Amino acid sequence: MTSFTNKYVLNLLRNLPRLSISNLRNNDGAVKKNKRGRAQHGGDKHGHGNKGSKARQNFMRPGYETGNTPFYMKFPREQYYKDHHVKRQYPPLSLTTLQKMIDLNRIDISKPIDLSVLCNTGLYNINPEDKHFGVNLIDEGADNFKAKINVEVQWASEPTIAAIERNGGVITTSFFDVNSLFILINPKKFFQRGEAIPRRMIPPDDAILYYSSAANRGYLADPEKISWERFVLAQKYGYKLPKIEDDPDYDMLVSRKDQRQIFYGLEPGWVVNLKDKVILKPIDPQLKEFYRS
Amino acid sequence: MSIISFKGFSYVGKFVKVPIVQCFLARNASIKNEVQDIDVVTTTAEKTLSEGEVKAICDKSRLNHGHRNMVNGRLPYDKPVHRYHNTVKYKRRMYGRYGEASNVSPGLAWPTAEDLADIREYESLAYPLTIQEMQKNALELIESERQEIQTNQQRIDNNMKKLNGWLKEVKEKSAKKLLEAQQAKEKKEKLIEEVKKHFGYKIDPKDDRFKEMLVKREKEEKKKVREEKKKIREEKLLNYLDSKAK
Repeated sequence: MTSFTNKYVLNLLRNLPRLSISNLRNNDGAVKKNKRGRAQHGGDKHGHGNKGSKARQNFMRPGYETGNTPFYMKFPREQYYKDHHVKRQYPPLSLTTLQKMIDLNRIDISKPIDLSVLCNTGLYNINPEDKHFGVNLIDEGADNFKAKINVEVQWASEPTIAAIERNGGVITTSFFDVNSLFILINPKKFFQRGEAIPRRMIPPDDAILYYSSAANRGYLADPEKISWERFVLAQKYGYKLPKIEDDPDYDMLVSRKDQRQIFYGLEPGWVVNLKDKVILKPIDPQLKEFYRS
Repeated sequence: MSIISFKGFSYVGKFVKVPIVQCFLARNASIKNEVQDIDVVTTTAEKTLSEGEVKAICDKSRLNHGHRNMVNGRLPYDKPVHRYHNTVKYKRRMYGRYGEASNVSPGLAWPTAEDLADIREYESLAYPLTIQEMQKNALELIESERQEIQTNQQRIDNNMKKLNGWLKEVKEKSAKKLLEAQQAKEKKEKLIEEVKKHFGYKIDPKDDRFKEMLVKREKEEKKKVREEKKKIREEKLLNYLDSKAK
């Protein structure tokens, strides 16, 4: 009996056509026509009644209550994101990354490091159009940071300052206005404009205390107070502060920009021509006085 | 049809081909003749081409004059071509890019006296305060905020000291109110009871008779009070007179 059925089934299988794309068919309802029929092809009111606001699908914007004061405007509230779009931003750079840049010779530590140098590595960039106001050096990798550098950043936390000073380095936080930032991050583009280097502008009201605080190593702080704060920080973090005075790189370590200066070694009012490799300085007393102020 | 068209095509082809070949041959012959006749002509033709002409022939870049100059690192235009070529900004740029070769006076890089006045005016509005003044203001702002918080804290402390007294006051006040309400209620109940006794049966307080009765009772009470007061006054007077007489 079984042998007969098996034979029958096998025979049937042999004679049936093979399963292929040509004899396959979709399940019923698998393909849905995603079209609204017009006119005689099922076009009538489509569930939206006859004429008027509803037939025209005149949807109100979310929260609108047809003339009532909307619920979301009814009660006074604290604006969590107030002025969020105009706040200054400082894209972070970790000490690990900085150490890596130094180890891979992207940065020459025999010279002072500023935003210009960081942007020239090609590994870090800021865009002042996105309200970026410079680099925030964060303390990630502070324990493994071993370089002795003179670095100028726009924002730094206390552990970062400690990590740099522990290695005998110097850190300064300094503010650059938007115009100066554009010049600093791409000096070549600026020099090709053939203009005199402008003066750096003073920080805004809400940043003035940060940049004049010795604890933040601000560029407007009193140098004596900064040396005291260096000592205080060494005590707090428990390391012996290396003496900069005895350092062979003393000149490099103590070099700082003036509060009106954008580039190291270049004063405001000078014109740099890259083609002729010359620096032009103003001699007009009026100009001199202007750029000195 | 196809045969006819084929025939026609072949005919045209023949017709065209023959004169072209002939022309070509004729030109070749003429050039050969010239070369053979005078050697001097070819040499003078070479010498008459100036260096510029040769350059123009050799240049196959298809760039326009200005662009070719820029590609070769030269000043794009010797003379101003567009209106903006006369602007200070463009001239500065040309100096910045091409240096001395741009024939631009480097003095243009600096602002003029008028520009300086403009810049000074802008800066006086954009940065009206000196750093010291800004620092002072910022510190004052912090101090005033701290002061505000402190005064608020002080006010809260003082009020917390008074809190128990205030609580007691409120409790007493409410107790007194309750007591008064209780007394008033009792009095009214008593009145209703009396009226009921007067009529001998239970009467609705909204009834006119009840109200009349109430008014009457009130009048009586008032009278009583008045009389009592009068009595007291008289007594006082008597006492006074007695004391005087003595």
